[in-house]
Amino acid sequence: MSPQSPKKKARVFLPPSNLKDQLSRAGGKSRDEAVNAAIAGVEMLREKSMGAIELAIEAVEAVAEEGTNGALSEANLKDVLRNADEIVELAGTFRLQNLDAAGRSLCDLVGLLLKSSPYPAQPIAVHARALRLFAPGRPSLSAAQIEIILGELARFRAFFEAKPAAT
Amino acid sequence: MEKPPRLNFNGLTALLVEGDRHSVSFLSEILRRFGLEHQHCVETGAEAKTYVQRMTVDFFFCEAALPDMDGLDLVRWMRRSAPVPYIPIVVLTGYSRIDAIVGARDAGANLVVKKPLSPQVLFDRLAWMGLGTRKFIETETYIGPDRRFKSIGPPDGLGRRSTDLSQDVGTATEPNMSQAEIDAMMKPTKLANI
Repeated sequence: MSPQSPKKKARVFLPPSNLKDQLSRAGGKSRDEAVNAAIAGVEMLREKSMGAIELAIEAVEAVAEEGTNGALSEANLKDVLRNADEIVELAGTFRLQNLDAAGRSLCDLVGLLLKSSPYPAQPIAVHARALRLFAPGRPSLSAAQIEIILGELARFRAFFEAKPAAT
Repeated sequence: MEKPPRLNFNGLTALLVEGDRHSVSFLSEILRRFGLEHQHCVETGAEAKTYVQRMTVDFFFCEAALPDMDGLDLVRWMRRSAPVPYIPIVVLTGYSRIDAIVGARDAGANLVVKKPLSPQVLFDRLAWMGLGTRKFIETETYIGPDRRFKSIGPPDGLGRRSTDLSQDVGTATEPNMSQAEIDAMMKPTKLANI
């Protein structure tokens, strides 16, 4: 540090708080009690969440259809990203692993697509189909079928990963 | 192993700043089941600012991406301009905002929790944040919890693994190295061309 530019010294201190005392009061819940109660509480939201997954997939499908002429707008992609994020959160919460994987793939893909326009609709449409196949309530797929679907999604990501970003 | 803590959230309050209604439902339900009944939910950063200027809260939960502003800007505002700048702040990030983790830490958040929320993770983090004694640092460019963890680690019993920071390494079997030996180990050396 040069003498011409003296910097203000950092202040290190313990902030005033009674949170520790409050949390440590008698009563309360043990970790197991609290976590089990919370898991039960989240489970009560399952039905509502399955409905939300359906709506989010429909929203992704609608955007993919909008781009039938082959291109999407940045706003379209951001809309897809918001819905894909929601799918990942909901699928992850209820351990819908394949849907979770397809949702994450879509998030990653949109992140790559946003790096350079034009924004093609086709990879979104393929991801939308995968989300539909993995949606709750759909007939279960064999391990081989799941592997093929997720493999195809990975190929799309690999293609756009290799594509140079616009300067 | 130390007995896991019991936490009494009764009477404490939380502000939940979250634009996504599903996320807020999960978070609210989990906290309620932990015993944190007093919650106020707002959707935007502007609403959150208005609320904390009028009311005090014990925990502040904030999504990294809010409808009207970046959640990290809200965290910075909390640390610089809120009436009570030391409130424990937990930032929640979705999968597509993983990049926000470092940003949230540097904005002054106490913790960053990745969605989907896990009750186990959330309970452990709240215990760690509430029961620990983490110092604050105030500089020209940063106000927030001390970001250096290497020297202290998580409090006893709250690590992710039972072996975290409690490994018995036994007694030394060799004499201590001299400073010259340590310096020699650190000294950059040019490798011979192969």
